[in-house]
Amino acid sequence: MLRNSFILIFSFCIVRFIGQDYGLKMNFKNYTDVAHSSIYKDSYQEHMLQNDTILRSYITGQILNIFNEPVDNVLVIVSLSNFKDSLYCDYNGLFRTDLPDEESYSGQKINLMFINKDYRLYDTTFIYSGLDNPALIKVKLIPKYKILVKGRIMVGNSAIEDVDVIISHSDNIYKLKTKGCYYDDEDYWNCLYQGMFKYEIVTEDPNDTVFLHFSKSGFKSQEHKFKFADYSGELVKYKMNYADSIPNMPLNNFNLKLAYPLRAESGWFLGLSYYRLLKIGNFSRLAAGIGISVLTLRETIEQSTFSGLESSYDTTYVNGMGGPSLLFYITKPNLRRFNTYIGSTFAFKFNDAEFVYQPFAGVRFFLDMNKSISVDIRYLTYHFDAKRYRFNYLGNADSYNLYKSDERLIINIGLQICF
Amino acid sequence: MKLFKLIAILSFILLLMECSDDDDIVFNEELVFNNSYEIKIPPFRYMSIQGDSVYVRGDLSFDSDIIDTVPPTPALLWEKVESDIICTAIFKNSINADNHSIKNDASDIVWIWHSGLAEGENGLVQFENGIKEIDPDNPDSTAEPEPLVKGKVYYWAVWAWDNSGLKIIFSSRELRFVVN
Repeated sequence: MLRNSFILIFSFCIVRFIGQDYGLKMNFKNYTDVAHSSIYKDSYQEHMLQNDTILRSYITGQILNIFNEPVDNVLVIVSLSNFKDSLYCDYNGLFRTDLPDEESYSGQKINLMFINKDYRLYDTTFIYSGLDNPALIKVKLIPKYKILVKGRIMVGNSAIEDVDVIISHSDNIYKLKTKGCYYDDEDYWNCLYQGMFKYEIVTEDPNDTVFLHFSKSGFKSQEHKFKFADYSGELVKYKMNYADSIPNMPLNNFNLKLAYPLRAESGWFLGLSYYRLLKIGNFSRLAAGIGISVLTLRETIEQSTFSGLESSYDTTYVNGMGGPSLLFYITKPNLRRFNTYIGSTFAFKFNDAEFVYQPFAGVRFFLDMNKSISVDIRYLTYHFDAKRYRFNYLGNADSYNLYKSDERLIINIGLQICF
Repeated sequence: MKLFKLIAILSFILLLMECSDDDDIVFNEELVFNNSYEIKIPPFRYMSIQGDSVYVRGDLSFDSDIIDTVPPTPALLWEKVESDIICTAIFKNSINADNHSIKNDASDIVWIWHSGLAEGENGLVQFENGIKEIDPDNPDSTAEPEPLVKGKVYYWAVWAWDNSGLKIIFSSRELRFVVN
């Protein structure tokens, strides 16, 4: 069978050698290059027949690529009448198969097939002309298009490992995972290839499309495609986005909150809290825990000294309080964005055991699978002994305590770690 | 990690806020207030209203057996200090003070000047710039001072507060003079 209208000029050699010790010397000249896949005909042959009395026939040839480089590891399948043989060429691209002894192969169809994964299949059939002119078959194979698809999958600025990557092209589907960090040969922790994948794809048509599919738990699946011809060979960065919800919601979370209250007389607020999500049947929106907070209050007091001389002094109060806390998620706790909650901490002040009630409401945004940023608004009121001074023109000011209350609405920013 | 750094910086700032500038005050038992910076009173000379030249030795007369002689309306001078709240007073009796306050009875004060008054300045005060006493119930009262009694020994000192008016951070030695 002649395929793809390739013009084939060939010379087929079925040599029948007579005698046992005949040697063969062949010179090849004046062949014509007819196509990118072709067999060249040798127009000149020289036989050196020696003392061989047995007739033997064989087919021999050399396989090259279009750059005239020998191609090795090519499977050659020969079919002739009821004879069939398959063999691999050597590293010089040379092959040879002996045919069974018959009277003549003249007028018979001979089928040759050359198979290599990196080259286009070459399949040809021709009819033996009946001339016993031995010749070397020269085959030129056309290489297939080959690309090494390289990519790195990121989320934000972080590479993600163990992403399921499916590369599909034509009927072929390749499944692989992105690489992670590892200890290299020198026992260094190597993250150079974290989040990367690569795969070599071969095609005959540069207009073929390659499809990429990425998936990982907790992330939105993605699909990309490109044409073979459009791929530049560079590492392509793909960005994955987090899914709308956390796949496995951790039960525990630890919070650190920091705030500068929005008031003239104010101070810092620092809160630490731990919550554990309570699972009551299918209800999993209530969390119980403990909260500890420290807040400072800075007061500036104007005071009179001598007539016509006003002065002021600053006093900073530090109050610590802690106690049990309850938190209720208004939205599902595993939602990644705008996860809203309300709650209250029932705290006792450490210095005077005053009961302090701190209701709060907030929103949290997950940064990744287990870290989130929260924004709380918290109300608290408490009492404390404020220090006041009375000017003494004969010495240091006399001090006294003033029982005072501090009422605040605190907007704080926090970091949550879920585990 | 940055969050922890921020907390550490905030803690450091809060710690600094608790530290006051007067931590390096050296105890000096010669001063009226032992834990304060010294207000130096240098020797000085001035002309009295009567036209006499008056020489005051200042700190040189501290613990001296020789007493300075001044007219009934003496002027007082000291090295200016960095404080807005300053007070100087002349007492009938020796000044009795601890680290916190002067314990003398208010009636011991025969003349007083403070920086809230219109006349006089930090470092130099004429007798007429001062007042007779301070009435806590009427701090704006400016009772004119009476001339000092001739032949009597008086004691005086100057002290000053920090800008908050809470703590005395400057004070002088107690000096004495006799009125001629």
